[in-house]
Amino acid sequence: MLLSDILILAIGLILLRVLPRKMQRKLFLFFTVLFIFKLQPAVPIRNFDFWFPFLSLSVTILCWQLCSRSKQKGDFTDLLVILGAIASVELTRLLDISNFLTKTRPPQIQLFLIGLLIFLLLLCLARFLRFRNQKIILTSGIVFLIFLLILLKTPSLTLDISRFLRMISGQSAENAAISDVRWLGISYLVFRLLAVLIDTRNGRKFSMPLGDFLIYVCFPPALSAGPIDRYDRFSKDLNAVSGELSGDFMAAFERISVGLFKKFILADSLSIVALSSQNSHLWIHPFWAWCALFFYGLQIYFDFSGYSDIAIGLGRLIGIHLPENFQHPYLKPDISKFWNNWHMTLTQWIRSYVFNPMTRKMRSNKAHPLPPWLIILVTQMTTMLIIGLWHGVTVNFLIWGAWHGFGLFFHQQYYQITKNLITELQEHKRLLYHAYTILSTTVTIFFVMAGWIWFVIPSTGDALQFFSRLF
Amino acid sequence: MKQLRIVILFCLVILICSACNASSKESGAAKVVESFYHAIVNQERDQVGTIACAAWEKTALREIDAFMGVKAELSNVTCSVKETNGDTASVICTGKIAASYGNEITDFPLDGRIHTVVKEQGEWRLCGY
Repeated sequence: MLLSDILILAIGLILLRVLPRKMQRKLFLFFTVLFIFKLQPAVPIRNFDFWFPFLSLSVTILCWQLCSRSKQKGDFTDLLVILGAIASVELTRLLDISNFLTKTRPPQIQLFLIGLLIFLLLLCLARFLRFRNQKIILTSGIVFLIFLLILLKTPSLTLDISRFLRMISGQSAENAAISDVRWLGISYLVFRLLAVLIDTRNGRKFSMPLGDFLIYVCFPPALSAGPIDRYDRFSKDLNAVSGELSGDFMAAFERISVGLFKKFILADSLSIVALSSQNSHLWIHPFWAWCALFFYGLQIYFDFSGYSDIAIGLGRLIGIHLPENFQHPYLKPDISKFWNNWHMTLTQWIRSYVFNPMTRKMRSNKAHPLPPWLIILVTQMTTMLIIGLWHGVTVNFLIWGAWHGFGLFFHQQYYQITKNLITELQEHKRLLYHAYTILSTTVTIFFVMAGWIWFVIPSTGDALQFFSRLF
Repeated sequence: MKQLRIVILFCLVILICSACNASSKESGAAKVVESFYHAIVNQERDQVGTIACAAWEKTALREIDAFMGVKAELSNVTCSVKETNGDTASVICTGKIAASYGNEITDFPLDGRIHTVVKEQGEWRLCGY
């Protein structure tokens, strides 16, 4: 998000907050749709700075159609508001302000109408299918979203997508690059949609109105970098939005300021001296290699938590209290606590939809009971590998996930052995316990920092070379 | 019934706009050349796909790359269509690109260039000069 986007978003949200309640929700929906287009970065493939947001909206509406039991009259009006907002973006093509909402001129009207027609046909199909074999339909939806994420996160497949999209857009496939496929917020969008599909498949009743659901999935402050909120919690806040700004406004302003300071001053300054894929071979001495690594660790923290602060602050302007995403993760005394405080909403999502069901399933296998250590190893490793792969389907992200998976497993085993001793220290030998906490925090931070090597350097060979320079 | 009327009205607006769009296509050829020079001075590589034809995209990227990291601005640049032949148009421009290389300013006059603009998938694209 650019500073100008943050400013426009803040002004827009304040104006929406003070509007009369009757028109507030529809205008909020309209504003959300416009902002998805506004935030989408430029794409070198023709018109895809329009088509990516259009696809995000289409997939969201289709998922809602498959899951929803909402029978409110307002849903059709919501659909009209969404289509009206998309059409408004498309119509900027005819004016000289086409760069106002999209980075390049929107597609030709004929192409837009074809896209719209395909979407409406799919919507009718989803409406027709939703009461027939719902479990199979929802499973297909889940598989489709996971497949989409794999396509977009695997470099070789992303390159093929770029080639394909360039071909259908009448461009030369020769210039295709992985970076062409910049689909704003798709990782977060897919996880929000997956949560609803999985819950509905598990028998949970879902009756959120269309407009509210779209605002939840595509909430502009949280679209590009989270946090990943839960729809039931978000819905409560959305229904409680009042026109009174006083308390929220100051807290929001403070939070946005902190976020801007972290993101645009601390993180951007650290990026000059931090480890990167371009400079990894320059850090020869172990001391400077560790310094570069720590600078990177701090940079990614300030960057990401700064974005979260901005999102939380912007959310408060409209009365939405987004969940916390970071709580001083580098000051935690063990790797388990680190993961409870780093990108918390993603960790909670994976815990709810992967770790807990998997652990339950493995523990309930009475015929062939597995030893507890093996259950912990398999579940923690799977969880961390998925978190790694969520960032990108590459060998280095897999190693990063495994690094933390083993870290969590060994910490769990260590904790089982030493927990009585630590409790005794905590109760009777306070000074020694403090010294132990300082030591364990130091070990944890060095472990986490060493793990960032696999995250920041895309080549395994270069990463290994840098790793060997640390010692 | 009211909602159906809204949908019909929505479709009509789109169709009318589509017709308006068709009548304003002539000026597009000159505009796309101007957009190219704006992309050069603003160093907007991502705009090239929309501006250049498929065959010329690589060269257009090279042109923009040549100005990367250079402070450049357009001085009185205006383009107009010299002649149109079906789906091909020749566009001429006046003005110049003023690029600063440190303290030295180099001008790139655009007067002598005849730009070939072709219609690809219904849109004008710059295809060389």
